[in-house]
Amino acid sequence: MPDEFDAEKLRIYPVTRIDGRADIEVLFASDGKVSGARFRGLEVRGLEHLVHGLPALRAPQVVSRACGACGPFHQLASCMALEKAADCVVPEQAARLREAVCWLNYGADHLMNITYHELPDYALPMSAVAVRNVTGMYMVQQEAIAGLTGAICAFRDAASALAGMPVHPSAIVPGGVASMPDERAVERAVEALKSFEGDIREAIRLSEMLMKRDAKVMDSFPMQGSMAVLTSGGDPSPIGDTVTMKAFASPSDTVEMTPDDFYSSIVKEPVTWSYLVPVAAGDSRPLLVGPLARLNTGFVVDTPLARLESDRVREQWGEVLDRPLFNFMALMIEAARAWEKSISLLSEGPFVGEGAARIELSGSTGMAIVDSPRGLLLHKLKLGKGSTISSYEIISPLQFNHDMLNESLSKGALEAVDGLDMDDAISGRLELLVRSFNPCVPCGTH
Amino acid sequence: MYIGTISLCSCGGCERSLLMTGEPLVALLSENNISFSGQLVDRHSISPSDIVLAAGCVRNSEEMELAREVSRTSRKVIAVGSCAVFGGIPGMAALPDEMTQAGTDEGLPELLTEAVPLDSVMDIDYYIPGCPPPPALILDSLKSVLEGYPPTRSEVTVCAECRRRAERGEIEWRDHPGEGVAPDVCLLSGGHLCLGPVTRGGCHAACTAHGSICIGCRGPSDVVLSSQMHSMFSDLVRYAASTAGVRDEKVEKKLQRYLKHMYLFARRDPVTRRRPREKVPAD
Repeated sequence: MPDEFDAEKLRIYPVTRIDGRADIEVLFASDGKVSGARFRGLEVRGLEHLVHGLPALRAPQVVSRACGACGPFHQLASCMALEKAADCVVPEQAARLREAVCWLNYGADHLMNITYHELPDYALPMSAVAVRNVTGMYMVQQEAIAGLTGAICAFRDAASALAGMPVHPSAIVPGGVASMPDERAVERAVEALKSFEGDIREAIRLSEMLMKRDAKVMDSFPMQGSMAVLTSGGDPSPIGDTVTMKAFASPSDTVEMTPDDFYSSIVKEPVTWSYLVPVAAGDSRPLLVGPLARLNTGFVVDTPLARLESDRVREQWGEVLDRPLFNFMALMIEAARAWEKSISLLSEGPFVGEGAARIELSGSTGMAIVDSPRGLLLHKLKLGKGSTISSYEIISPLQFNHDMLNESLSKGALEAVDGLDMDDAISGRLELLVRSFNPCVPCGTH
Repeated sequence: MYIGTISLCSCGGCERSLLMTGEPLVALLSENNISFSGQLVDRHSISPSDIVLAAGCVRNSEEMELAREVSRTSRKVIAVGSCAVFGGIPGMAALPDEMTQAGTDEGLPELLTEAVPLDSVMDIDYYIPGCPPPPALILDSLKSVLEGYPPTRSEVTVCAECRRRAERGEIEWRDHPGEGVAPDVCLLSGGHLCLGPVTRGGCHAACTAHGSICIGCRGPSDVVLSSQMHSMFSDLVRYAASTAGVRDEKVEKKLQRYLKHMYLFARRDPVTRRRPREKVPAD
């Protein structure tokens, strides 16, 4: 995008069916032609500043409030950063429980995005604004919406049974988990999850059918740049040990690095026109993180349904899914993967032993990266006098995706916008592009 | 009926909590009309509504305008979540000048120095505190107001809903939010600073049931609010001292370290700030 815009702007405000408040500005050059478009985060809370002086072990409960969508991942990343600072090893069973909670939240978050945010765009593309939403869908596809919302509730109930409140689960604490669920709670969770197997399969078929029918998907511009995901043994994982990067242009060439090296390569590039601070990682610009990047990395093991569906998608649309709108399919496949993974982890046997390891804060800094539903999420903290927080840093998925999003948005605006007339169809098309990046503004600006 | 939802300065968790109620919510909204909702419909402006669920506090000039517009155009407003009710986490501290005085030249909303709860800038009819309030609590409250009744108000504390039992004896205070306490023993007795005794219930003690302390997200209990003699800090000190069998001053000295942590959610609450004996941390 050009650096300077000196002519008129068009504004789409607010961007709807996303988390948080943002707008899109379409910018014009002095000759009256569209020169680009940009997505702007309009809110900020200053969370990194607010935690200064808190006892460090209490920080995770506060920073989990960075985001209502991936609060558990903020809490987890904060706990892991503290564990790094304390050189503490989480007990094996607690680590298994944490991973299960992560997958349950993946499932709930993805299905909520699908149901409330993205599905109306694909299922009711030509409908009036008043109808193009979940209630409009409910009028014509009651069973499908009942199935999807039922699956959301099952993921929610399973997560609550294991870890407390569904949005900000209290059970994830520094050193492990505050308590181990008893066998009955685990059984109930597995039962709830198994009860919607049919709904998950039907939702995948519905998504595939809608994608096939929608010409916009392949008409949209291919993304260029790189993808980054957290992996464990080559498999995308919310709690991995390696950051794996690959370029859209050469997907067979992967670069693997440690979380510390990845952090070292991050450059912050603040802009004056948004409260969101974009970041770049090394030379890989622009960067994509999140479900589509993970789907493109490929699933290696133990989730046959997700594996089968990802193979089918590739057969139909190509080895590299490089259009932003494929995110819709990526969300659905990953929700299925989350369902399989959580059942598999919870079926490994009862959770026994110590929930949390003793944590003695000895180091002065700690950093951790997790792969949240929306993509890579990083927390770094420094300890001050009396083990209180002296500095805190959060880098969230939208900050990584910012440049890729704006590049796609600019291409979309160049194609769709002609003159200063902005009708529902044009704004709808640009907003659809934004939704394809799962933006979470509160998380991004924190 | 026309129902609207709006999220101002917040993490979005309250809207998520509402959406997690699933089909009952979708059915309810289908029977009525959604006037505006950033999460659900593509309307780009505030329109007149019978009921608005408003989450989040006010931290910038845009949120101030939105709050006032909602106030002008709505019959009933329900403040949802502790940010809306008390100022919440964004109200924990004032932002530094470099944040509040930067970046407004390109049409970005101007940041206010302090986050303020919604009823500081608009009329609120009902309050549902929590971070976030449990999904069923928000939906049930919405149903009640639709039927013309006020939402159910929990008058007990989190302690009253918690199944753990207090034990007498000296307390060894720990920073950790929950580890090493037996499943049936009170977390406060185990040395964790649990705010259950002074926090409004209605959450079924979900955090303490999973071994983690209550951090006071539902705000001060009725007893704490009932008179100038009470505050979250002084009431908790008194309770902990009587449980431990020691003088208030001894506990008060130990708990000073956690003062900021006791007002994570209610620091900007005007009632809390008016307490003469209140010990609210300075900025």
